[in-house]
Amino acid sequence: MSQPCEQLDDYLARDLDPDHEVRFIGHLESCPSCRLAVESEQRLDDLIFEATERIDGAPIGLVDRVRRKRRIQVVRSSLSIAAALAVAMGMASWAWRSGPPVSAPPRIEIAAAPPSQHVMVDFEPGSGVTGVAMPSDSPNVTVVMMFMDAGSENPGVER
Amino acid sequence: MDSRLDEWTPRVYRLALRLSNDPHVAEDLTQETLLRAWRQVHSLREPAALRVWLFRITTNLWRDRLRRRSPTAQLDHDPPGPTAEPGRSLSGGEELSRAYRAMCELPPRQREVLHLIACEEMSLADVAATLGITRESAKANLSLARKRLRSILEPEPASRP
Repeated sequence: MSQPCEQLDDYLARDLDPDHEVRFIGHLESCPSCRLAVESEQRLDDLIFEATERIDGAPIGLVDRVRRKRRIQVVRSSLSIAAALAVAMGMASWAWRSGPPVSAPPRIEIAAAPPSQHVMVDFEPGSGVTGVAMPSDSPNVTVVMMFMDAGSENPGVER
Repeated sequence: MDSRLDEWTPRVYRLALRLSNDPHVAEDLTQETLLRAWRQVHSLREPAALRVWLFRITTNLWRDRLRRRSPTAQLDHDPPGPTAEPGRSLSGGEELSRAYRAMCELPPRQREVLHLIACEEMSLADVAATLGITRESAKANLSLARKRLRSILEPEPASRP
């Protein structure tokens, strides 16, 4: 058996690379036994192909059903994205309206004293702030000057 | 993908039918395959590999179904045969009908390999890739399938005494 004939099985199994396939097809012209084998397999494959083509037609309307399902899929996907965007925008809006978190201002206790005198005001211990009440023209208004303590040893104001 | 749906739907359906031997399952598999392909088509790097990629999805979906079935479930149904498509006439009738039945009765792997080779004209390498098997296995199954079909369709003449 010559070497090309040994490639018969590979050719029938479509396992030859393009170059070898072309060479083997050339070989068929001069080798009746290989040609006979190829024609026999080809007839069988053709019969299977034809039978399948005629009998296995896709059900009527299958393509339309696939298209319809695809449209539903796309709509669902779009709705999911829209819902996610709406939630994200809602959260952003809520955060913007709320502003940054605000802590309660330190409570101020003002010692009872006539408005004409300087009054020492103590904030909560540890707040580091000292307020001094100043006289004003109105008896109903007290102006409070606030000083940040540089340190507990030197409050910066006379007590 | 949409523009090629008319072309691919029958081909995917035929493979699904070869895999399942059941027209209803084949229709489901076809729909699932095409919808999944539509969703994931961006992941296909080589458009030339579309057929292997698409058929691979079908094969994987079929394998998933088999795994979900109970172990006692019958895996193969009666082949649909020519009567499954009423209204279709078979010219060349009897021979095609016999060939079709013979193919449907092949063991699943032989049937799948033969379909991809004879009907899709795939290379052996692509068949192996589609079915997730080695080339050697694909080749062996193809050889067995053809041998078996030939024995059914071309019976040896009985030897005379």
